[in-house]
Amino acid sequence: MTPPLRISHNTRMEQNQLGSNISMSRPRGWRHPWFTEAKWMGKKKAWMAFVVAGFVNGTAPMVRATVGDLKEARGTFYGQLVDARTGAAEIAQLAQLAISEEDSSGLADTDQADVPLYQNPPIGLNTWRNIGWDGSPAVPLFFQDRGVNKPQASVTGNADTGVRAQADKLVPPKGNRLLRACDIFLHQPRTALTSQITVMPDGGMVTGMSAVTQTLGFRDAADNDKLKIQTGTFSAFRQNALNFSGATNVMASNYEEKNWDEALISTVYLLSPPDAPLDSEPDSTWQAFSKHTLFWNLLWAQPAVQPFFNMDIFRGITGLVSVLGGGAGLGAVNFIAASINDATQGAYNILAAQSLSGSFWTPTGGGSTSAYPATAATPAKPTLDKAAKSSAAAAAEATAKLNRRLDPAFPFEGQKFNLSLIKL
Amino acid sequence: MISRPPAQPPAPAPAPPMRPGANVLMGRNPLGFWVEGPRGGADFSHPFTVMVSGEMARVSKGLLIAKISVEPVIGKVPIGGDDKNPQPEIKLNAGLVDDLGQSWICVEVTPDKDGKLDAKAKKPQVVAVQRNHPIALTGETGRKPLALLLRKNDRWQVFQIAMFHLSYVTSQPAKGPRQHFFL
Repeated sequence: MTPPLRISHNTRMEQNQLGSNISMSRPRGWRHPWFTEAKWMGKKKAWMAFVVAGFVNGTAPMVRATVGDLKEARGTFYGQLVDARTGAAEIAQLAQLAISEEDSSGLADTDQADVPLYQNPPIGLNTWRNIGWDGSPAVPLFFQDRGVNKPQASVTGNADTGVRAQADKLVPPKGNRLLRACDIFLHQPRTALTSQITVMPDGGMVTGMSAVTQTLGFRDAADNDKLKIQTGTFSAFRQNALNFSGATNVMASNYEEKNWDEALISTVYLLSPPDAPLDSEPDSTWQAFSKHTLFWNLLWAQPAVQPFFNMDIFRGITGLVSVLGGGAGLGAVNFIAASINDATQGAYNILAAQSLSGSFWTPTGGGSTSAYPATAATPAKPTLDKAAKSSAAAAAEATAKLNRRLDPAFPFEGQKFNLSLIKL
Repeated sequence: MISRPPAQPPAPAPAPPMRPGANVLMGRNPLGFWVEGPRGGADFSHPFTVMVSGEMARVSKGLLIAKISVEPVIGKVPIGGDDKNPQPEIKLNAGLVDDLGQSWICVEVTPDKDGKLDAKAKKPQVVAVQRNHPIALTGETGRKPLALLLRKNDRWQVFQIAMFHLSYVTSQPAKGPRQHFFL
């Protein structure tokens, strides 16, 4: 007689009409902070992201989610959350949410709740940008290898200016796949620098000169602003506190820094099935990939607020202006009898020097570089053997293709420390 | 005439023996067959790992790297223990968590006037920070969180924050408080 079947570690046995069914949990190793995985939420019919808890200064960012989304992620996972690559058990493990059944019983599904990231709240991915044949030509190599084609461009409009527009009505190649992307990034509120310019055209000592006063101040972060996670299209330009574009004139208007810093966590890509109609919306048939920018927990700091110098470009530093802080500090910087061009440059330089833009870094134990030991390159040995050369070329090509990964290998990458934060 | 019995259907073939599939371990003992699935991947072992048992927390060995490398202490015992003492523990207080149920295990550094971590300076301490901000980058004492402890359903849940040894840099500006950076 056959002895009974017994289960051991990491297995589960169920009985059904066909007999015994043994299932095993998928092995799952350690995942780095900020590890992002997109899931198709069947009930909501939308893609949402789950991010492994990461911390900034020991605090987890908040995610604003609707109670309905939280309930769906926490509820019955079988049949409601669909993912081709992972099992329902893993989804259930992901969806240990902050609010319990009792906490959420009195809330409407449309109510919003701020949930710490370590509770694995679902993060809505709503604003997708098109990449590939029906969108931007900036297609990562990783996806070019998987059938995403760049759009064909043709010269239209004014040929003198070289303006090129994509001809999106062209028929894409057979098997073409579409690509969508959405960024997930950190939002860190902070104190910002403000600047106000006063120009007195007739106040100069010399004809053609102006008396210019630049008044610096502070603006605190908004009261209800907090460390949180946002989605959309991340722009490195938004990180730059001195976001002077060509249209910005520091002399003509009051200037205020952004009173927040941002850092890109990851980009979620959705890859369509082959031959998907152009401009189609992502659904459960699309495949999700994540490209990470952050891999480790972060520290963040902004420059210490320094007293401003009251400067006269002819007489030098005339005195210190006390800084009260808390949004009440003001410092006046005078550019007496300076030409407008000189004053503009002076104002810009002072803003750059006094900027309160903060920065993130990864405490790796390796010092300020945050650089991990580099892998030494192995030089190819010269040979006259054609077969060996061909084999080496094929191997190099395969390696190059393998290297077209979205993420670097362990230990990934760190954020470099900004040495200017250290005041001497 | 030879009579023959009516043809009988062939006897059913014995059930084929069970075979393990990919990543499955199968065995047999007097109690029966057993099937074992794959274990999860190896955890990432790193310094400053915080472990909680009951209401006590322990921290695995880790270093603060400055001009000299210093192992923080709990009380007077290095966090990894030494030849004379077992690994020390920190008592947690469930009543002192914040509104979200959060508490932290942190390392605190108080260098001497010259910014040095030597025998004369107070050794870096690992402490439980409750009802206080987990980080301090300015002031006499610098503080860096090692792990977040979440109190939920009368149990502590650990979220590891520090995953490497820590380089430590301090600076005393001409004006203003001392700065502490953990790199």
